[in-house]
Amino acid sequence: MKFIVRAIFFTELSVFLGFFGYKVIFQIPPEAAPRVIEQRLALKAAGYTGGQLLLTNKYLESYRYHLGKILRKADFGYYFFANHPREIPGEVNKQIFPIALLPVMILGLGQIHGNWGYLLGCLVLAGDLGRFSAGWILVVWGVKRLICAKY
Amino acid sequence: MDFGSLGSQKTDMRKILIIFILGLIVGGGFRFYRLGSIPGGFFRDEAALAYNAYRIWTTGTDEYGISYPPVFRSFEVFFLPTYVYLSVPVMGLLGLNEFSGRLISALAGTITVVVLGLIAGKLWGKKAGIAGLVVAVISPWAIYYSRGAFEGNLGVMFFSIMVLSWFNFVKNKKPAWMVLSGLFSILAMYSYQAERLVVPVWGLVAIWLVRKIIWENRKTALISVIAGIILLVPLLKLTLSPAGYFRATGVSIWKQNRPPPGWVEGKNNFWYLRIRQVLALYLAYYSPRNLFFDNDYNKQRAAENYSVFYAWMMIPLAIGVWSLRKPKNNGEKLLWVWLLAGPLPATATADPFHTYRALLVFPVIGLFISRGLGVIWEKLGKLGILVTTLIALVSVAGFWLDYATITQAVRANEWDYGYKRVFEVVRSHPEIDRWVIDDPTTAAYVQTLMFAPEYRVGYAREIGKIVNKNNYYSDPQVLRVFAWDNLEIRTISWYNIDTTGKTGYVAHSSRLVDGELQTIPGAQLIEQINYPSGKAAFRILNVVR
Repeated sequence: MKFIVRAIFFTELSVFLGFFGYKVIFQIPPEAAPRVIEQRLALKAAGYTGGQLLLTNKYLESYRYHLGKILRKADFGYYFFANHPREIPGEVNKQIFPIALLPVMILGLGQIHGNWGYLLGCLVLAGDLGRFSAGWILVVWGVKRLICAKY
Repeated sequence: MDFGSLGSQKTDMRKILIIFILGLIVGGGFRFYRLGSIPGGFFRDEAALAYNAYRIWTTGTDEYGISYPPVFRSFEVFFLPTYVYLSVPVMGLLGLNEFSGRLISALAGTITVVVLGLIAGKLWGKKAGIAGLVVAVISPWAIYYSRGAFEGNLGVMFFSIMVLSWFNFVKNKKPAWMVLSGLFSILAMYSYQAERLVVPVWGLVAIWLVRKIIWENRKTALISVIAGIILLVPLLKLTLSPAGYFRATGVSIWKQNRPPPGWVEGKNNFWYLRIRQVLALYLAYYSPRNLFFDNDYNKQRAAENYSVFYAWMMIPLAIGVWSLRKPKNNGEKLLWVWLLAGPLPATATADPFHTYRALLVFPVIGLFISRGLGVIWEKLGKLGILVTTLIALVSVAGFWLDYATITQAVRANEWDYGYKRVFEVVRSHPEIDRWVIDDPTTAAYVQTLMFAPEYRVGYAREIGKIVNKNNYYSDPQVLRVFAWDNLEIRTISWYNIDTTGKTGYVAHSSRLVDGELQTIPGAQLIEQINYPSGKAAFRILNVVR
């Protein structure tokens, strides 16, 4: 089992590094600039002209952008509920896993201990492919636990 | 039930007491500092609560002239009475203003900080207790909702005290704690709509778990239940009237006559999609994306750039959930019940991640985080405490600066900013005979009553003429006055206006957009009221041709 998980993880990692390179994480997204400008203009108009302007800057905006990107993909709705209430703007959200697998996956979470680094790596690094793999890893773990509980 | 003890030694107790007092001071500081001016505006719901409390203090009636009502109404919304009645003495003491309107919520938020710390301490010992206190002091949701007149925040305080009292009852087996817990459960149910559903669910499970102890105290339990039912009779009576269910049915997912997302007639199953929608709405309250990044979809209920918790809290939350996956005692079981029942009222509405309706779930998530922090502190010792303290300090400083500056600068429009100044301008122009206010996005009448004392008597006189006391609770239709004294609240048609200059017009920026003023012949701008961001909030003008 560990071998399979590790194999998936390192495949994901190599795909990620090969296709996108490190700059995906460290680049400042183009969406950052308008937000920073809007917030700084508002702050200036409100009379904040000193250090408060540092509260909004492209590095913080970049951090928030990437955090948001990761966490939006960590939303249950993204995997189980097409047309869910908070769909990611600009994307067609499809149902990736059947809802019936949700309890099995929750059960599979019990197997994360000792393996969570790989699972997290799959989620963070390698786009939809990684998340799809991570989901099925959880399903396999869940089924394994069910079988173990039975016998 | 096996609870841990909160500091058995005297020296420990002294240290913990000092930390709790410090938490109270710091927590109070974040909640009370410039309470009247941050947030910048005064939201219509806040104005409704504050004005009704003021009316009760001055006349003994609500804004409709009903004497000491068991439930209040403003702009066709019914709200439960505890916040208003608790604010009554505050109004007597401080008068009607933004600070006095928000005081009870800030006070409730400060008390909640200590109560959550005590719950965590009672369950998992002193380190988790301190962690619970710290998490409650710094959490964005806790600061945000304590700084506005939100009756839901009061409900959270009563609910938390109810839980703490129940834990004390189970530990000490003294019936007085059970009675106290019951009393606070009733107060919680009289505070906010969501508690009317969550309290019974939590209470029934709590009673079931310790049924043997309750049987031993059956006499007190029976008297408490009877007293509780008597106290709840007005609420139960109201629940069956439109005043009780109008709001709930108005926002209910079942009553909105909208099919579930993705439904195509004849192509897929309606009920499967509806259940999937409800499940999606429910799980949205546990989604890391919503809890740690995106926040509420409504900008009025969220600070700019921050969610309900800080992103780093994901780690202690995961550890906390993991360590509590097999509850060791009834206290931990009841935390799970609290966690699972918390979002139920919000789930029944079609809004995605409505933080206010699901406010009850955030304290318990905070408790799980504090459990995780407690585990980290146990494992890493002083280094863990030092690192977490530094992260907590940086986080709360960042949040506060963001909340007090950026949020106020860019989200003032969400808080009905500008009305106070509108009526200052109105008062400074006695030469104008008549005033017309055009602001469809707010309940302008309640802002008028809040900030313009000169219009209160006239409004009370006119509303008294149209209120039928027999259907006050049963008819949820529009019941308000749109014109009284020399004031009108209506849509302005700029083609049909008074051109003598004797009528003043107050137009929200959404009704008289930038550049439109120049297209009105003879328009004289009296004053433009701006949001802190520099964008126009209101334009006050008259027309002379």
